[in-house]
Amino acid sequence: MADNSYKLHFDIDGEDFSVAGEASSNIKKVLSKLGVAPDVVRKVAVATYEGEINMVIHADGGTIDVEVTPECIKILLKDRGPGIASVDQAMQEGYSTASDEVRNLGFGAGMGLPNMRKYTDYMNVDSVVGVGTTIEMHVNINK
Amino acid sequence: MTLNDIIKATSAEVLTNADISTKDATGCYVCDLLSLAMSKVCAGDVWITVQANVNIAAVAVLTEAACVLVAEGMHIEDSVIAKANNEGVVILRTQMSAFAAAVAIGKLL
Repeated sequence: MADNSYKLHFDIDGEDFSVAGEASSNIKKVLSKLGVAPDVVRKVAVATYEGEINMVIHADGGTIDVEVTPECIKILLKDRGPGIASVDQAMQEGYSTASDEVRNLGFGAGMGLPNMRKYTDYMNVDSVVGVGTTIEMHVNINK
Repeated sequence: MTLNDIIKATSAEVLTNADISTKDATGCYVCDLLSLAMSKVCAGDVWITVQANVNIAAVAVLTEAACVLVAEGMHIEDSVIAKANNEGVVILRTQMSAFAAAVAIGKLL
């Protein structure tokens, strides 16, 4: 179905909270224009926003690639940050390594990765300490 | 309820330039954790928070909140207002606590 796919790519700046969320906002607008159902758009928006914020907080930026196929929205997040020492621990609600400064901004509640899993139909986290993290997520369109 | 109803009930000031004359709200959510707000604010909600950083605009856009109501008269930087204006987000500010504002809005529902 590659011929029917629509692709988006975003570079995310690290440490710049003033633009955090812009990629997710753009993705939301494009999906809405493509006629994707509002509930699916919402799921993708939450998942990409959490990923985007994680890149800003923890990884000095990264990339977001989105592929829209007739069946699902595929989201690929890549960063060259410090990596996640224990993905299982990071997937637990409430676990966070964010700084107090970040927490004061309303982030770092340990809900990022759990929210991403909650709002997607498939999620795989591949992280190597010292190398970076790649997260693939799918949100089904016809579900 | 209209945003004008909310402004009257909470003695709020309008900080952004989007036209609110015909805008309605259908619910209300109170939270200062952005991840929680991101997943729980419904389209059309008044989102009450004491957070006043630039990311409230992003969350409001993504959740399609009717407006952000910043409680306790928190200071809001011009850059936050500028970002909200660019995104068409409505930001209101009240001197009320989040609880008092929620009670006032609850009476309108």
